[in-house]
Amino acid sequence: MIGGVDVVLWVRDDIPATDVIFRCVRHHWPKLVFQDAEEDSMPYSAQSSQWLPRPAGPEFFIYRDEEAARSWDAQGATPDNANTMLYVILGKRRQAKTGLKSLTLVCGDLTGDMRRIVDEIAASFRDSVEGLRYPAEAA
Amino acid sequence: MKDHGPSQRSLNMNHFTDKDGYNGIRASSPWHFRASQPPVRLHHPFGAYFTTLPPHTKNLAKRLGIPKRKTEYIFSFDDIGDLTPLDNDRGEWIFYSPVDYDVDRKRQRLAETGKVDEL
Repeated sequence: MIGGVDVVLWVRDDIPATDVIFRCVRHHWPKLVFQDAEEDSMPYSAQSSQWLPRPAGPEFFIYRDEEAARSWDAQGATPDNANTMLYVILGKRRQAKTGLKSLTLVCGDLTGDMRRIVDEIAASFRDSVEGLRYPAEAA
Repeated sequence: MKDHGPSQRSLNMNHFTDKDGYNGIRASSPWHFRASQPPVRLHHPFGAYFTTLPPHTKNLAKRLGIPKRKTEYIFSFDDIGDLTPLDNDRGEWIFYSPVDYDVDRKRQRLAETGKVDEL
């Protein structure tokens, strides 16, 4: 009763996490379709403007294109639509030592385009954290 | 979204499945949920999986990462806090038992169990 691969990242509060994610995904999926997790499914339309989507809640889905969105909506996860959707959860957890907030990316598998997308997102957040000095280490 | 976190763990625990799974589990008393390896090998722990997400949750199959047909039937029971949350943000609403998991009659919520569309 569970599928997908969960990748946990830790991000700073002052980083616009959703913007970072959408920029990385759009680079690989220019016809991406976005949906809030609390949103009814239809109709879907690809992002046509250069503006980045603004999720209304802490969970959202990014589909590769309209065809993928329709497939997921009709059937959920299937072998045919594998790795065509990224599920993003802006978490509530915090790392005790750093205070960084959790963010989970759920995908079908870490292969192909999906691997590259997840790696780019992870690298962006990692870059923002590197060099950060925490109170316990500053002394 | 609604909070389905630990504060609500005295409420329902649910297991979604398809018709074959439903008939198989329903036939046993107590209900017997068999632990197995989730599809992406070694990524999630071997176990029997459950969720606090209720039926009719929007985009339920997408959140669980499963085919929609596997959300057509539900077993619902009282949670007693013995299940382990996933070690990530889906752990707010997905829990597992590392071994087969039995639910005795006293914990079964029969009125909330069955074909989701008919509840």
